Amino acid sequence: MIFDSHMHVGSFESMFGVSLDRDGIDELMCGHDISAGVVFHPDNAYVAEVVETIPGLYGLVWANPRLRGYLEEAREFLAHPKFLGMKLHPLIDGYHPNDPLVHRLVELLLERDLPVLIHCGHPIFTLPWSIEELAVNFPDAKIILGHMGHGNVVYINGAIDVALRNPNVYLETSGMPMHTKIREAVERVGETRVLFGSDVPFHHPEVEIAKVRLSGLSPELVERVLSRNGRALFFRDENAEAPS
Amino acid sequence: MTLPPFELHRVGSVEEARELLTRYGDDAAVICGGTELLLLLKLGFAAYGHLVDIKGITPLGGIRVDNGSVVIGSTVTHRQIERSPLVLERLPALAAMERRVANIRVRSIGTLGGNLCFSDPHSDPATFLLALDAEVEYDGTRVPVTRFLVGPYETALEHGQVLTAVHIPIPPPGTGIAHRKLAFHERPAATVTCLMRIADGLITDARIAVGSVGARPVRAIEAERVLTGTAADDRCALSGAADLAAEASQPVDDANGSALYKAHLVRVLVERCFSDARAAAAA
Repeated sequence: MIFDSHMHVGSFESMFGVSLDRDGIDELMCGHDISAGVVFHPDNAYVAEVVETIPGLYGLVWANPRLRGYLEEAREFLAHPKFLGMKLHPLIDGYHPNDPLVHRLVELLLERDLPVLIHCGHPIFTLPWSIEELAVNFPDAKIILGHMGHGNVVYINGAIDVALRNPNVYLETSGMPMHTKIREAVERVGETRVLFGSDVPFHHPEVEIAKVRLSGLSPELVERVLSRNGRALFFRDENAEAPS
Repeated sequence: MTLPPFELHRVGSVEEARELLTRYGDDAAVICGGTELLLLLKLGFAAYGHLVDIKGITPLGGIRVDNGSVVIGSTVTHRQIERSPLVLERLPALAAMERRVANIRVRSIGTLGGNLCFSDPHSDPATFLLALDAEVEYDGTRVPVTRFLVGPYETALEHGQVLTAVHIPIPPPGTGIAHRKLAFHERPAATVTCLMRIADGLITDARIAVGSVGARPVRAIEAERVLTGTAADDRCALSGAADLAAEASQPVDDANGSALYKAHLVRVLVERCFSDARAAAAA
C-alpha cells in the first residue's frame, strides 16, 4: 500500500486549469492503492474538512510568511490531529526559503518534530541551493525537497547533491520526469531519504507510480520509496497505517 | 488471507431466506454486500458453512417516500442512497453523510441494511439515523434504531429474522441537519450528527447523536435538553451541551486514542456540527 507524500486538493483552475475535490481525491487514492498520504492547499480550513473524513489522508499546513497572522494560523493547524507538518511554496508566495520569517515557522516545526515540504525546482526562490541555506541553518529540521528539482536536470542533480551534503534533507519524486534519477538518488543519498509523491491533480498517480517501479530499483527498494519512507517520516514508523 | 469455503445461497424471497437460516442454524448467516462479513471470515473471526445472500430479493430494494418518511430497502447500497434523486431532494443531509461513508469501493457494494445489522460502533449511518429517530423494519414490525442497536456487533435481530427496510422521518422545513466525523483509520474515531429547528431565535428541537467513540452510538439526551429553548447563538449553552454529549458518549480507549482524547474530539465535533446545523436551519 502506497504512501503519497505530495497531494493537492481544491481548485487550481485559474493558473493551472485543474482541480480536485474531496470525493475526487478519495477515488484517486482508492483507485491507485494509496492507503495514506499528505495533502495541502492554501486554504487550510478546507484541507481540514477534507482530511477529517478520509482515513489515511493527512494535511500539511500551507504557510505563507508574507501574510499577516501566518504564525498564528500555522500554530492553529499544527494543533489539529490530522496535520502532520508544513508545506512551503516560496515560488508562488514570493519569498526566499531562508528568509528570517521562515525561520520562525521552522522553529514551530522543531518544537513538534514535524517535517516541512518545500517546492523545489524553479528559479528564483525554489532552487535546491536556496533551500539548502535553510537546511544548513536548521540541521535538525526535516526538509523535503518537493519534486527533487522538478523538470530541469541541473536542478535535479543539484537537489540530489544538496541531500547528499545535508542528512536532514529528503527528496520527493513527483513531477520529476527522469525515472532513472530516482534510482540514482537512492544510491547516492541513501535508501531512507527518497519519498514517493504524486502531486495530484497536476500529475497522475499512475504515471508517478510507474516512474518509481521502472526506476531500476530492486522490488524491496521500490516498496521503500513508494511506502515505507513516507510512513517513517510522517508516521514515525515505516510500517504504520497512522501516526504513532 | 483467504476465504474459507462456504455455500452461497442466492434467495428470491424473505421466506426462502428464513427457511435456510432456520435449516442451517448457527452455521448460516445473512450476507448483504459482505464488506464486513467477508473480512471477518477471511480473518478467521467468524465461520459459516452457509451464507444466505438476500441482495436478490426485489422487495428489499428501492427507495420511496411513504407517510412522511423516506423508506430505504435494506439491500440498497450506500452509493445508491448518495446518488438517489429522491434522497437528494427530500433528505439531502442523508445523501451528504452517505457520500462520506468509507470509500467508493465499500459504498458501491455495502448496503444500509448490512451496515446496521453488523452494528459496528464506528458506523456513520447508525449515528445519523439515531439523530433522525429512524426505525428499522423486520417481521412486519418497526423498531427504533436506538433499540435495534444493542451493542457492539449485536442487534435486536434474532436468528432467522431479516431486516427489510429503514424508515427515516422527513424533518419539517427549516430543520438543519449536519454530520461530522474524524477518521484516522478505516473506521471513524468519532462521528456526530446534530439536528435543530429554530423559531424566533430559540431552539425548539435539538438532537445530538454521538458514535464511534464508545460501545454503541448514543443520543445525548441531557445535552439536547440543555439546548432546547435556549437562544440559537448561545455559545455558553452549546459549550455545556458539548461537555454533556462527551459524557453521554462513554468513550473507551482504543487504537483511535484514549477515552480522554475521544471525549475531547466529541466536544469539538459537537460544537462544529451544531454550528453547521444552525447554519443549515437558517438557510
